[in-house]
Amino acid sequence: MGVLSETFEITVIGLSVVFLVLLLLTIILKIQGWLMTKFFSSSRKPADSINKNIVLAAEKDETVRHLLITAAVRAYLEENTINFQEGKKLQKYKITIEGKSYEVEVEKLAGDEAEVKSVQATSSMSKNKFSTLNKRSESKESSSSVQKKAAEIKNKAKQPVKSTSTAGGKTITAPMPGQIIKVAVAEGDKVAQGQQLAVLEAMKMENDITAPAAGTVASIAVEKGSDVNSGDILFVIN
Amino acid sequence: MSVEEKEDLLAGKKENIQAGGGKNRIDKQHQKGKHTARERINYLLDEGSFNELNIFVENRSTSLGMDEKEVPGEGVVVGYGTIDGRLVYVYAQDFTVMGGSVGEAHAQKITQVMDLAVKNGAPIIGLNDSGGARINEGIDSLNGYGEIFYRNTKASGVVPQLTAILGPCAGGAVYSPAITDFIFMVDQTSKMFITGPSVVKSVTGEEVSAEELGGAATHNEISGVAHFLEPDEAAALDKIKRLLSYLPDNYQEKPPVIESADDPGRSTVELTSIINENPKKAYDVKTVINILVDQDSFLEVQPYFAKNAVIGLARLNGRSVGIVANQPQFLAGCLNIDASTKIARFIRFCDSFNIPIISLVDVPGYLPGVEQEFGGVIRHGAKVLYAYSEATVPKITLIMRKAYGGAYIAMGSRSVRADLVYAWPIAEIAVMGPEGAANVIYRKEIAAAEDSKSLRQQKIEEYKDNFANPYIAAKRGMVNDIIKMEETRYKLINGLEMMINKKETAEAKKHGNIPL
Repeated sequence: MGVLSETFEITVIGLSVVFLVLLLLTIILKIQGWLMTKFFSSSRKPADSINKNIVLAAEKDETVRHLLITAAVRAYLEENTINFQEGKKLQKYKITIEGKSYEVEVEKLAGDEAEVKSVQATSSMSKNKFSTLNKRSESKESSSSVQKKAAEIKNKAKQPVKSTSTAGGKTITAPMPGQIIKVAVAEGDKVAQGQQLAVLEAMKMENDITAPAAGTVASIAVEKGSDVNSGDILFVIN
Repeated sequence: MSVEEKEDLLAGKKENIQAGGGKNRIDKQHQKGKHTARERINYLLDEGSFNELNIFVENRSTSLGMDEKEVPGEGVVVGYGTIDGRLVYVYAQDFTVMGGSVGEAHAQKITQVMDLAVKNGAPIIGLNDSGGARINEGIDSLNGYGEIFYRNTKASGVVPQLTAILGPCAGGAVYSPAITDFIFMVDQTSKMFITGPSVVKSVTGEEVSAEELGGAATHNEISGVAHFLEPDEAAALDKIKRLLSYLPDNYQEKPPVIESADDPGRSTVELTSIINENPKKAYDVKTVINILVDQDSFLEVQPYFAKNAVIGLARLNGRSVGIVANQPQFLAGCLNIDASTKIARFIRFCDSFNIPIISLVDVPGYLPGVEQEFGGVIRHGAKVLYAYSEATVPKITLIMRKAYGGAYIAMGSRSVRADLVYAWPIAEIAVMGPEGAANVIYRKEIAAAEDSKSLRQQKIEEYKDNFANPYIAAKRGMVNDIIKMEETRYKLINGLEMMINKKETAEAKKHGNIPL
């Protein structure tokens, strides 16, 4: 009985120790988690205000810059005369300061006077917009001619495998660009299906041009040494 | 009513529905050389294995006279059965009932078996023979189609999906077969097009017959939509059965092993006489394939489209493999737009279903030309690279002869993670052909030389000896071994067996963006 109560005591103490340790751990983890959320949420606030500060600073600088540029151009105008183009009242100038480019518009006033009308920062982006717009209108014209050519080629090449019949004959065309290195038949020859008609050297290979069906050679459009392109007519078989 | 009487009533009802559109319409089908839906199912599946489902489903449409019409079985027979003892789900459209047109209930029957197939991991076989959407049911039939297309997509890569076009398949209906893995067409019987000849004539003025526009020959030879061209229905259904024997039931299983009597160590010395000494002479790569694989095991896919590439299923030592090869007899074996799309889709199919890929390379490059460039050979050619790189099945490449430029990289090179790359001693692995290379590298010397022609020839010979061989690639480990032609079959099978437990996981991402 004594032994039993002893082991019982020990078990109870042991279990309660384990329980307390676990409880402690959970509390510690919870506090840590709470601290972590505090950390992250708090770090957001300063970041917001920092960003705002940077933006404001940039603005401030911009207006200051504009004032400086206007003043500088005015000073220049007082000392120099600007040659306006014939009949033009406004002239545009490009100024680059610290890598930033600006467009200054100068207006012709009565007599030899001129005044700064506007100062605009030209970002590289807006510059490109103009140039791409111009390019686009150019390519519009060429793209339509390109499209025409593409349609022509597509119509020419996309013929069904059963090659087009011309007056009952089968046209055999070159499958690849290359050179005819051998013509194996003559006009009037009777050929069997699969019989070799010519050899086309293309893509590092000697390619056999064969008859798709039995018939008679009606016409030969090439000779040994002819350079051909894809789709060029080689033979007509009746 | 007693139980017996009720059972008699049931039998009567079933008989009515099974009679389809009636004897007259069935006779019409037979006269055209076509069979009825139930006849086709009985031919395809193992005898007595067919369990029909949803025979009593009826439409609830009342518009345009639908409430007066008898539509037995809604024009489609669906259910499951076995082919060679393996579970398959099948639906067959019944042309004798309202022209096999698809309505809401018709589509529901099909989608029910598709759902079952996905849940139970078994192939779906569709036997299409339909006039299209049922106009009377209006947008309900369109929605029904949509449900089928959605499930085709969801099942894609989960279970093999095969479609046989055994009649007309027009309008939106063609999208279901287009999403499935393989399309079987029957010469003169099958027709597939989005807009038929009459609409084409009225809109564009082009006169074309239905057979020319969307017959089996057109889709097998020109458009590349179909994969098989069979002379009659029985042959098409037999092909389906044969194809299934190479495939697993679903993406989680490996393909079945069919023991072959063909010795895995068989010498393939006859290859030395098939492939000419002169690298400019062509040979038929299908002969090479038939020599290397288990006897009579090569099943070519899309044999009439993009003939410059050969794809198909075969067995090596009883294990299913996917074969990708260049065919020197057509376009010198070049890769072009059609060949690229053909190869890429096949590789992705094999990868979906754990079928190892064997690549037999003899490619001089991509086909040059304005038509190719305008056609987008850039994005189509990229598909091959993408498909090889993405595949995680065992990939073994054999460089037989030419392997030049970007096409060498595309056709299962080391860099797109082929696991084993072998080369024959006659292989030429280089950036460019000797002629082109000599022109570029020694341009100045040749122009300055007195006898430029012979200097050029000399430079070409130099380049050929130094670079047009497999040893430079072997030095870098891009080729694992240079093997004799006679030990090719042994090496391929050895490599395959070595990798039979290959495990490679795809990266965690939603899915890639393959150029389409």
